[in-house]
Amino acid sequence: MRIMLHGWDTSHRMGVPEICDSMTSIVKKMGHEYVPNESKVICAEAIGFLGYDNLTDDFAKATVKEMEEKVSKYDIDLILTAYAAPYAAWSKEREGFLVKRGYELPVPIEHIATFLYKNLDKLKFKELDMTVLMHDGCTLGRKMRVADEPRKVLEKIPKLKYVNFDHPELYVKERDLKPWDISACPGGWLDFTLPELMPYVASNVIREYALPREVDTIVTTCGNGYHAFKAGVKHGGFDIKAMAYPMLIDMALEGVQ
Amino acid sequence: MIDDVVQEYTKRIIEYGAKSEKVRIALSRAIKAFENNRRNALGMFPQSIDTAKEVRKIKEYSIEHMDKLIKKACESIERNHGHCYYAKTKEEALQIFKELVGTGKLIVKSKSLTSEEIHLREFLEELGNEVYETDLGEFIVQLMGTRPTHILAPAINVPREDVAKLLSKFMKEQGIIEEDLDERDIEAMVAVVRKFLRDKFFKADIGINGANALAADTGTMFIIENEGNARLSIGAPPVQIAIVGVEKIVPTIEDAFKVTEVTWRYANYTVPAYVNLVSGPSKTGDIEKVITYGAHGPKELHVILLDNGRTRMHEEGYNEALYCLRCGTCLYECPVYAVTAGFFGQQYMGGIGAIWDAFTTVGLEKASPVAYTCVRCGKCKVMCPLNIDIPDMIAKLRNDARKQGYIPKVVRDFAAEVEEFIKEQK
Repeated sequence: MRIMLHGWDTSHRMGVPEICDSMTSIVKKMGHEYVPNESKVICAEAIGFLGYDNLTDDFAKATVKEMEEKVSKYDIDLILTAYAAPYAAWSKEREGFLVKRGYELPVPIEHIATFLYKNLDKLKFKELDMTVLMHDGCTLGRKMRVADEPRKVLEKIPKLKYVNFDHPELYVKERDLKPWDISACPGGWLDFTLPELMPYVASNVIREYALPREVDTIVTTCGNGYHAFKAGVKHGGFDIKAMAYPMLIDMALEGVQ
Repeated sequence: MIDDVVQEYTKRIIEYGAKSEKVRIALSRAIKAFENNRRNALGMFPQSIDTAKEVRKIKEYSIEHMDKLIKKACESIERNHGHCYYAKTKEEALQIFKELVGTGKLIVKSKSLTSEEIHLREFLEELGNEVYETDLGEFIVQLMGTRPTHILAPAINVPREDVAKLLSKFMKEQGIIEEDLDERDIEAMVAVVRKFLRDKFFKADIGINGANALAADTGTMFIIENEGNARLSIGAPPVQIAIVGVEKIVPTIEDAFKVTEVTWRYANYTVPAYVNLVSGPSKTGDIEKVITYGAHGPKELHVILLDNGRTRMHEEGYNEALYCLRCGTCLYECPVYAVTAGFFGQQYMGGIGAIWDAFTTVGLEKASPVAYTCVRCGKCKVMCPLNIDIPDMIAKLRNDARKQGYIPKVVRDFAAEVEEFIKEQK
């Protein structure tokens, strides 16, 4: 399969290097070819959230056009991302925002967690003797309800344990809340709006939710969240690691059967 | 201009909010207590969860029929021998207060966000009146000369050590105490404020209150409280003046009961100490059944219904912000509020505060950086008893801000890159 990685997932210039490296490594270990993508394409939905609804349609059209050119040039079968927003916007399977608005990418898009889950039977993992704190990204978990898939993959990694990122005080049994309903956001999107504030928000979320759980690593399904957690760990000087979901998977993944 | 607004706001939220260890520690303590209390309250009274769904419908209906309900509520208040006023703007409301209050009065006031919205205390003080906030948190904020940083717990960002210092200084000046208060002894702090304010309640010329709900059919105001200060402010002075936002009006007294029940339950009062119901001035018919107004409570009741942008909020598609019960849940759940307190906001607070600020207090330009402080993570929506979609309204407000040219530079630059990409593709 020829997989094109989403811009932020492949470009050190635009994205987070650790995510880019782990994403390409996973694709290679799974025996697929990958096509880098240096374009600025993110997702047309997010620009609307930022206050530019007027650009949404043009951005969507431009994205489709660029993707069509690349798909035809590189014979791409799939677009893969570690970020929830592009998946939420373009996934046909999940009736994404832009799909509902009449736009369609020429090939399917998958989030790394859904992609791995769909290939779960084939994945070979080595042992990872560690306990991680599982953080659901707000868009992926709370909004899209993609929460079982990343967990099922983690459960297949020998010796790995995970605990949920939540506050026990928030549960009232009658409300039927799930960990992904109440996981706290470390403020990744502040990087686009009020970057000075992000490290404070992230370090406080780590202090309140992660440190009391006595784990040595936070793992998040949110690309922006990872960026924030990393800044929060540095800002707070905490003795805890932050990892994006694909980074953890890459550590454990040996290949495919 | 917007760049100056953003710069000033950013400086404030970082310097006074995010960088303050006091704010963080005080909020950390308060959030944990709130979460525990709410779980206990809803665990003990789980029916409130379903009542909240009914309340959402009541609010949807009420906001759609606001004009009709204002008229009906006013008729009911007048029928009960109260006086009802409709103020379209803050200025109109303050003018009504000026005419009713005049100057040289002693006034006791219970907590009311609506009164904060129009800076009522400061206005009445400027007219030459002596005004006391009687909610303990508001009283602390008044002495500090700052503004509330949470809608329910106005002094949530002030640790006990600072409260002890503040009260010691003030109460010594007033001759209430001679020695400094012990910073560990919260009970003693409460006691001195009680002693000081108790005297004011009974000497006051006027009592001022807000309301959590107003039933249009009976003209009854519902006021939830724990401290007993609202009860005394409402009951002791000879004149009572209430200021009520028009979004608080619901069709019936049964609806108002449901609204207040859900409000107190989610505001983590398992059972509040008091729910005050006021429909008119005090009266008696004990002598030959002749109704006489002005028995033991106030002789006069004036109710000012304040619009001040609420109708426009409805007309411009921000209905859900008007459903807000002011239970404070969204603030306690917000990861940004947890490190910034009320500095995340101009006058109202948090994500929903951006909408209220845009329409009722500082306007869209100053509300814009607040809207861009919200991370739209959606936890507030999940935890809100009425499931108010704050993230959706924030996206809408940002778009309205863009149309007026009120976008922070960092976002403008990002959008410019996207526009460049679109151009390249064309």
